[in-house]
Amino acid sequence: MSYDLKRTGAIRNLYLGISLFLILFGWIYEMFSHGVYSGFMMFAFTLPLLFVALPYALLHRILKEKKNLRLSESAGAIYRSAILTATMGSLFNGVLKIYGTTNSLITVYIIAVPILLLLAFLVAKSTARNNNQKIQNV
Amino acid sequence: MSRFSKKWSFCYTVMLLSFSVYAILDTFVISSSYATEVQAFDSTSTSGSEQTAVSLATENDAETSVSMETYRVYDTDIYVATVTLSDITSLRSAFAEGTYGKNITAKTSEIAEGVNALLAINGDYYGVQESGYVIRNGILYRSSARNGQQDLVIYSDGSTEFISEDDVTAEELMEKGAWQVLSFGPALISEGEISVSEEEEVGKAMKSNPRTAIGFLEDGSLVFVVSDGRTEKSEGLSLYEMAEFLTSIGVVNAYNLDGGGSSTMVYRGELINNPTTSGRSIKERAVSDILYISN
Repeated sequence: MSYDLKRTGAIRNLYLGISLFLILFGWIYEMFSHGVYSGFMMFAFTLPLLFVALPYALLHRILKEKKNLRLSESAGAIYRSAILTATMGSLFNGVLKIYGTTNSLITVYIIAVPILLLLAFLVAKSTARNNNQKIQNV
Repeated sequence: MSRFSKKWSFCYTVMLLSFSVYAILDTFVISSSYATEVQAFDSTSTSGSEQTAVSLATENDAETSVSMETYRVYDTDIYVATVTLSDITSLRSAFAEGTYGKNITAKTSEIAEGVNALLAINGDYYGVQESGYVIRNGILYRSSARNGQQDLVIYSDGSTEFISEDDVTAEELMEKGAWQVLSFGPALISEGEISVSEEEEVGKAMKSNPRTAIGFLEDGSLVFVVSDGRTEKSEGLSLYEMAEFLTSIGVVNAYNLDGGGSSTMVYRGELINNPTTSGRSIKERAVSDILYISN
């Protein structure tokens, strides 16, 4: 299934909201951490903003003109999961840095992100191939 | 929205949040012991003297001499215990609940009471780290090195050394007779010279904080130093300010230990400083380990 205007707008707004929440969260967290801060915490908001909200805002504009544009929503869902994972990993790493501690579980986030991105790419490619075949068969 | 993407988004988000909650709990809450219970050092007190004033106390026996002093520097109360030992192995370390492990903590005063400590300060909070050498009372507990970590080594012959875990293994330190290895840092003073910059900080904080440090005088005497901080009465110290103060009292080698809410000094069972995490209430934070002088 492909995106429509309403769906891309909703995703853009959702991830804008997430970015705003993360800005607020990082600011409040820093307030209570006695001056200790971490770039991973402070700039975690840039991930959903730059890699989801902005691209979907762009996609929203494109779809207004190119209504026949077909993009895989499944690939998009997996891609957004990758960005969410990177964001959670950044927050977790920020917490670790602020407290001056370590946890090897951070490795799970580091490994999951590229795997999800690759999966999203493969799904998108597969969907595009299927769409091309359908067009050729018509 | 396709059925797949709906299911995927929901299931993956739940899984991601659950895992993240578990990761946080694993870091700060879930405790696990790494070894069987450590045999705690225990000795009976032979001193019959009454408790002396907190601001100044001196006591001597054949093997140990302790003097306590309070300073007021940088709008901060600083508590200094100068200890002269005939045998460095009287400087001991104890774990919370007598157990080496992760997220096993207790207040410094409770740990000190458990080992009948005359004088105690909080240690390096090894329990929040997954790596970094842990050698206590001549026993090796953890030999996994942390990149770039600078440690204080106290040898059983009374000598001290700052080492980098990149350069020497824990086993090598044991062979050289390491008695205590502390893994927090940084070194504040090395051979009489301040070794931290004014911009240097632990965890990227620039603000003043409660601090704990251990140092050595020219004659080999030990100093335990704890400063208050985060309160209206005591602002706290930066690492550089701590180093400057220690230099002023004649310390030639000094090492920073866990500070902030962990900073605690206990003498004869009484809290000497004003430990605080938030600055709003005075109360001890539970820590994983202490350094102490036995009674």
